[in-house]
Amino acid sequence: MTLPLHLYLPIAGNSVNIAAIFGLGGGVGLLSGIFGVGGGFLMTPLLIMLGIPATVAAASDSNQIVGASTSGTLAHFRLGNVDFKMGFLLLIGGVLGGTVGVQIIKVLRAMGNADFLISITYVLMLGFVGGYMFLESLQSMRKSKTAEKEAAKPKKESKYARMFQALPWQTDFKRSGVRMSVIMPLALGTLVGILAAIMGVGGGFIMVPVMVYLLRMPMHVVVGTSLFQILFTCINVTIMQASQNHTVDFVLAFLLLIGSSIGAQVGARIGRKLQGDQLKILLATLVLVVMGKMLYELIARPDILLAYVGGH
Amino acid sequence: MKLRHLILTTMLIAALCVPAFAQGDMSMQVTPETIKIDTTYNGTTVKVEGQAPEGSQIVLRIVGEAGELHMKRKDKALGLLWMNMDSLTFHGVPVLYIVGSSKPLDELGAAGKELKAESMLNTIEIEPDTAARPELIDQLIKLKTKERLYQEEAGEVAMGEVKDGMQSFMATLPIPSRLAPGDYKLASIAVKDGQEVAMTEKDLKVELVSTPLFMAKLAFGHGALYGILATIIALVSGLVIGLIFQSKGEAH
Repeated sequence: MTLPLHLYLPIAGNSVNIAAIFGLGGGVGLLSGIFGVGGGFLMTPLLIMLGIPATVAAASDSNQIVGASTSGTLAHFRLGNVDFKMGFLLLIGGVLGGTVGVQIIKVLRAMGNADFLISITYVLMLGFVGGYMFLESLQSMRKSKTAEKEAAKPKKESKYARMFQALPWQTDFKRSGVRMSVIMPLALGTLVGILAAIMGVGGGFIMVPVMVYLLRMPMHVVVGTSLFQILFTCINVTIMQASQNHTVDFVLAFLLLIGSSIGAQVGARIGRKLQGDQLKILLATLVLVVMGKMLYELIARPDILLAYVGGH
Repeated sequence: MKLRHLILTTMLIAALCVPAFAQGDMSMQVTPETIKIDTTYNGTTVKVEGQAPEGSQIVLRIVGEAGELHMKRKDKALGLLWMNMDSLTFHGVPVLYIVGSSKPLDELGAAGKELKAESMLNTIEIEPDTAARPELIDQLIKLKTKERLYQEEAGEVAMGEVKDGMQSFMATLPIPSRLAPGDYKLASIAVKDGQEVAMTEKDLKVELVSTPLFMAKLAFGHGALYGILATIIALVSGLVIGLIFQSKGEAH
């Protein structure tokens, strides 16, 4: 029996080339393993290009990310890169923030022009975060050419640092090697949750820089912890989408996740070989490329002036 | 009688739900009459053979069920950025529209024009109603054409031999891989001097079988269970692949 090259996806209502889907999963899983981002920003548009409806693409992608982030978290856990304590606190914040965010969207939608605000915020945010990370890591790479590791860069005692230390309930985060109040990850998790809900993205892109710059965690632990969190977020999204909107195509997700779980394992190894600053600068480049693409889409006249409701 | 016939024909085409008439003038066989979508389905073809009045041109048309579409219209915000702006609902949009003919529709006069996607979509309703309607319909056709769900000139109808005032025809129509189960209608229309002279229609069923049917039943009938299963399988797959990689690592 020869392996069929195409499979019909009953929920997506189209057939796909198995090899194409497998490869797509592998590529996105690789990025996810290296950088600790979910990869929805890449996967969803590519799936739409392959003829999958936008809603099904986004929901099935969440299902796939569950596999990739399980695999990635496991790989990073073995490398000692997952800070569970921090991860859980951020997660609690994220769930709270997500709930608030959904309410904010309702208000924005009622006021009209919400989509406009969201797109602009997203582009600005990506531009700012990507630009900052890029410059910062470039600088520190130049400064510490001899230094092998991203050994703690002692920063000036800013107002932020003083507040950091003044908050109550200080506790040690051993994996990350930082000491801070539990309020910090809770509050920042909430903030990211709100933003992620408003923008309709997983939040990896925002969470990673927040952990690096605001929680001052080492880059490798950031990647592992971020994957751990994405795992929970995407489990939630998969179950919600499947039960409420029936948009999860499991066959599609399964093909993707075989590819992406393998990709995530390889990615985690590649990431381990890179230094913190190199990782940061690569991620920054990726963020800037995504921003460039979004900006282009906003400025260039689209081919077709109609879009289905329900995509990203 | 002839005039009444003609008026009726025009009205019926305009209404786009033409029941078979003048059956005696035309006949057709369709293979297969039911398209079964199994796991390896990747588009297919439908073979049509029939008899039509001598000297006429043949147009074959497959139309899917009419449904509702929720869309956003892209427009410039602040005169600079292309954004999804107004929400629109299109009522009565067929999921599939495939036309094949023995001559391009543009060369078939008024009847040919009536069979183009633009004419068919004239009957749809757009909510809220807008002055930009013709432009929107045009964009909708573009979108559906890009998805390969609307195809004009999809296949050529070959004309065969003439016998007793009837001419045989034969065609193979493409069915796209993006196909939803449901009831479709296949019509064959004979056109002479820009007028429709005969038509006949058959049902074309599209149904899911085997694995796709099972998956669809589970996903739409037991959404929550399906979601949980999908999650568990994803988790287990991730773990298993993680373990395989670990054992490889230890071997070194």
